[in-house]
Amino acid sequence: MKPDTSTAAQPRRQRAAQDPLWLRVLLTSMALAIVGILIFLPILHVFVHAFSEGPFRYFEHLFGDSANRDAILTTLSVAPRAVILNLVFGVSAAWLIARFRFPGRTLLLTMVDLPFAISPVVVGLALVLLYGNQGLLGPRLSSAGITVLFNTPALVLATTFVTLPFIVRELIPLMESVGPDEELAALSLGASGWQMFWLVTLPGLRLGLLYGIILCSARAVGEFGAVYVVSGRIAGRGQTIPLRVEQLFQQYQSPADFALASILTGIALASLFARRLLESASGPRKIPSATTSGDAA
Amino acid sequence: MSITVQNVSKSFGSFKALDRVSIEVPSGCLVALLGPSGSGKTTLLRVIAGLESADEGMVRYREEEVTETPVQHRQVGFVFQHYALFRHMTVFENIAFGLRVRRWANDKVHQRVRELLHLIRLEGLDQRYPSQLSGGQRQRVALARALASEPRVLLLDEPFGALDAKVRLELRQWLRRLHDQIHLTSIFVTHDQEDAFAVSDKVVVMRQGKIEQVGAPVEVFEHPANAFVMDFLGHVNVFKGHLRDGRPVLTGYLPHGVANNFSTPGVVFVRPHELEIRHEQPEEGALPAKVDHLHPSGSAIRIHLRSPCGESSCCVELGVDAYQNRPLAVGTSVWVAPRRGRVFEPEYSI
Repeated sequence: MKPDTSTAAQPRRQRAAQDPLWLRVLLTSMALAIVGILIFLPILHVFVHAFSEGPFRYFEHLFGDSANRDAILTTLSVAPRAVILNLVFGVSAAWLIARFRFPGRTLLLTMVDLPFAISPVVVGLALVLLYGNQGLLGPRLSSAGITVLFNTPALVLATTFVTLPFIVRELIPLMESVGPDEELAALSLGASGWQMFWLVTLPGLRLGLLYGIILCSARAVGEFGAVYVVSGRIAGRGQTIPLRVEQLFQQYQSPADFALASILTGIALASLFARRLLESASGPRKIPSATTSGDAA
Repeated sequence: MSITVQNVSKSFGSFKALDRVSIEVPSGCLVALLGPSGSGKTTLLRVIAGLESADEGMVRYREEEVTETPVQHRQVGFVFQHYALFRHMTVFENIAFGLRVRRWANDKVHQRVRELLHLIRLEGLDQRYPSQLSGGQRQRVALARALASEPRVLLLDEPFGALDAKVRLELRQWLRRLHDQIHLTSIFVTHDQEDAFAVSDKVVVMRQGKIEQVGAPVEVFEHPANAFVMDFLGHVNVFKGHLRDGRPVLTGYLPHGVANNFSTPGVVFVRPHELEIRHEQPEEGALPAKVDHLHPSGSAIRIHLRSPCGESSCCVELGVDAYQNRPLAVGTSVWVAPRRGRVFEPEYSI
């Protein structure tokens, strides 16, 4: 009798742990259908359309047209600057927020998230008001010979604002989970504050920094709303790729439009794969303190 | 290097972590700061290290006042509770860190790290990363890293806290032997009286930011200064009673929960090994009890007993031989009589 009861118990336990087959099939196909229709199909369409006149025409669209070339160059100059600004801001703000308790800390933490919540158009408008001819800073800067608005600085400012949270948000939880002990250990071993930062703090944040930079770059390249408001919207001058894509769209230049769009899509896909790769190279993303105190568990 | 702490106070907000604490650690001594959590022992250690600044008072290393000296310049070796090894560096680079920031020549660094790897018996693991080591190994690397640049004092925060029982015992003995070899003035923090007694020359018992007692382990265990120390340093039974001509007389049980209130007058403290079990009622000062549970622990047997009405319990420790002469069954009615007991003056808080 005994073997009978044990074999009978086995499938029942399986059933208890798993949902019925029809439900699993239904949920899986629903998820696949949604991802397919909402995400995969449009992206595929971008590439199909971009290459619809053959690869030769594709590259001609990209690099033959001077306005398109200029858009690519502008993006290549604006996005890295925004990322570098965010890197400096992100590391210092994360350090401040994770390591110190000071009045205004919660406010700073909230403000860091503001760019996520606010519409990019509002950001653009605010910059126009601030740096415009009637604005607070505009006249002073232009009398010093600096043109911000409708120029590269405005594009960098707008992009930096919109991508501000990416690196900070990646670093704060990381720094909080690691805790200050490694840094204190470095100090107790005679390191100066500067040595501590370069030898211990920054290397400890490597992965988080990489994640942050990847996401921040992807977003910086693709930013449209805020940049649209502050740019001159003149073909071939201070136009980033997304702005040029929109302009071409307005002019019904469909294959050229999709060729440029395919670059944006490609960058987005590449950054996601890079992120995936980092994740699998570093194992599952665990809380770093688990590696320093693993045996406590 | 002797360490002197004078009238040090430290508050975190409204919480007073240290309240005018003074201790003296002679050169070459290994001292344990012992106390329950929240007693201020870790704060005291961090103030001595310079990781925390004192609100009041002063810290001196021999004659030199270091109260305002930042941790970088105090030349202390500090071992963190969770080791705080640099995760992105190998064992070798971890140990070499203190030498590299002091700009030692490369060949001297190698020589010193080899020496330390030998000392901690981890030769051959120098290219591992901290995550590839066991807890005990990490602890030893943290110790080697702290010792590398020849600190003036060694400070350890809960050095055995995160280790399992067996590794803990080994490491305890190893640390004691190490200290006997290098004679570095050392202070370690622990909440476990076994750790403190097994390793230290001197124990400092702390409670609520104050020092309750200082002394050699045997001294502190045999002559606890007050009820708190008595209770904290091992299991203790608390009864209603008094001393008559130096002999304890038990008059009744205390209900649960009263035992932790050290200011109750008219109580007697008796250690489990100071209680006897009688099968007949002795003359006076003994209490009836029922055997509840038998618990072998090494060379002794712990007998948990319950008062007749069941609302209180006590514990007797018997040598295995003594127990085997007269085994007991669970449920047997017996009498417990104290051979020795202590009475403390009630504490009055102002």
